[in-house]
Amino acid sequence: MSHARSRFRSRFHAVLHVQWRAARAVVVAFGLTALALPLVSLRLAWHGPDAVARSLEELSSWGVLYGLLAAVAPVLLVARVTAPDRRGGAVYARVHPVSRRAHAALQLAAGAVLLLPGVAGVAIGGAVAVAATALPPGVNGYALPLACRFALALGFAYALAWAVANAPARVRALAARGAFVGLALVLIVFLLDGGAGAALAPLRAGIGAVAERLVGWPGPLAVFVNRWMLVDV
Amino acid sequence: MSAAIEVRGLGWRAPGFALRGVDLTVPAGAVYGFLGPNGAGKSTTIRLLLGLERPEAGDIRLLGEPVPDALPRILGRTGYVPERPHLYHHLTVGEALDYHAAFFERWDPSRADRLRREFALREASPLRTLSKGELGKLMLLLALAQQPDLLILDEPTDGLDPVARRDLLAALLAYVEERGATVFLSSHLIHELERFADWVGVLDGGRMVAELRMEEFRRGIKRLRVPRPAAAPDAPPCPVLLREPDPLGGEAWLVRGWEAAHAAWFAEHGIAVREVGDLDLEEAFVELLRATRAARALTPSPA
Repeated sequence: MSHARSRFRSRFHAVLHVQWRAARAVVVAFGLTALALPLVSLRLAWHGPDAVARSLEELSSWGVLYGLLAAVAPVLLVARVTAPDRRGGAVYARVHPVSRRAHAALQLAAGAVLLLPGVAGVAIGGAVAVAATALPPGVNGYALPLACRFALALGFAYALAWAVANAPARVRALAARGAFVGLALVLIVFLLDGGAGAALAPLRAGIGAVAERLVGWPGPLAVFVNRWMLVDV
Repeated sequence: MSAAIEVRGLGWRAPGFALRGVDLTVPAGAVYGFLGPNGAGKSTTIRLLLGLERPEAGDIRLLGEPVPDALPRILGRTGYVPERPHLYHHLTVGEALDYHAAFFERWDPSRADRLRREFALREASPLRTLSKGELGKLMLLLALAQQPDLLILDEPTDGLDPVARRDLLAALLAYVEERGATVFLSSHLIHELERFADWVGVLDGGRMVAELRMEEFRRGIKRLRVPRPAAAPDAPPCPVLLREPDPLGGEAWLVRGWEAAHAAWFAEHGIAVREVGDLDLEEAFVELLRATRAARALTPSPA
């Protein structure tokens, strides 16, 4: 093994260990939740071979939790693993004898590794849940595709969270302000009814159209909100 | 003599503060005391040296290589102890050592272990439970165990008790003796520097006020008592930094680069020097700052 490779490995392990120590509570909770979600959802939603349509409908409503978990876990992870550097103004990280790009790559890769237990949790939990359920002919389990899609959603949320966390403070403040103003605007527009509310109808329609673009295929948030089915026809 | 740190025309600006045209030369193997009052810009200069800030003007070379182009190589040979602890507080001492070791190729585990025992740092102690003194020791341990050619220390003993300060300086000096490393040490604790620095640079209000050998600094700045002062002579052999009324009568002149032979030169020009007073390092530092500020106040600042 070349010297450069072994040096990379030891640095990667060091960064991984530091991140694990900073975020192990998040990683463990995420892994367990991801493992439990398919098991619990199929157990509660499945009403036997005679009620397939009803079971699938209920299972579909559980699906929103996969998207939510895939969106929230990376944000929590990134918040935890970047907290020590934020606290010290990232001085310690920046006086290491590696380029900033190499350091960012090490940290990004280590954080991605810490998300793997969650993906494994969905895959294993899904496989066990499907194996433990007597599915009628024509109904199939999709544990592996579900885990792949979960990994894709995680990757998207992780990249976004990482970009925001490592952006300059001014950009972060701008993003936070933008999100706050956007949310406030949506709440005002949709909560107002009658009178001035009626005048806001075009704005409401506009927001609806934008939301549709974001969450509908191929919008950037489609990976979170479309149907998440562990079992389907 | 080669320079471990070479800075030319360094400029940097932030709201309410600016570094202007800072020139620094730290000879290889020297212990360089970087003096200045609080807010003079010492920490900012250090951040610029390490590439933590981007200069608006000027060139920086550390260990013969340009900053920031060669930073990873430079940082591999440079130990840094910042003013405020910057380590990851969720780690234990042992984990912090392992983490640091992974990044520095010249890491010496036996030195790290010896210093850890000398500093009475337990491997299992979480960093968040360490006192300020213990954290200071750990940061110096990390910097020394990576076997640097250049050590940059930003107020490393500030706020430490005398015992911790002594341990820290003893370890630093032992390393310098053994490896012949260059030390760039910023401090406002002048007496501390007086004991071991062999070069002194003084920064005030974002400008370099002086850079000279410690001996020159200590012995070269004198207070002359002049009972019957005349107009300042043209081109004196040593610059007159400051003239002020002497409570004992006449004037007190602060001069730089004084030598005994200069008394005759002043006498020839009708200026009798009654007494030549030595200043200790702290006095010399304070007087130098006063003189510089007085001269600056008389000079209209550029718009």
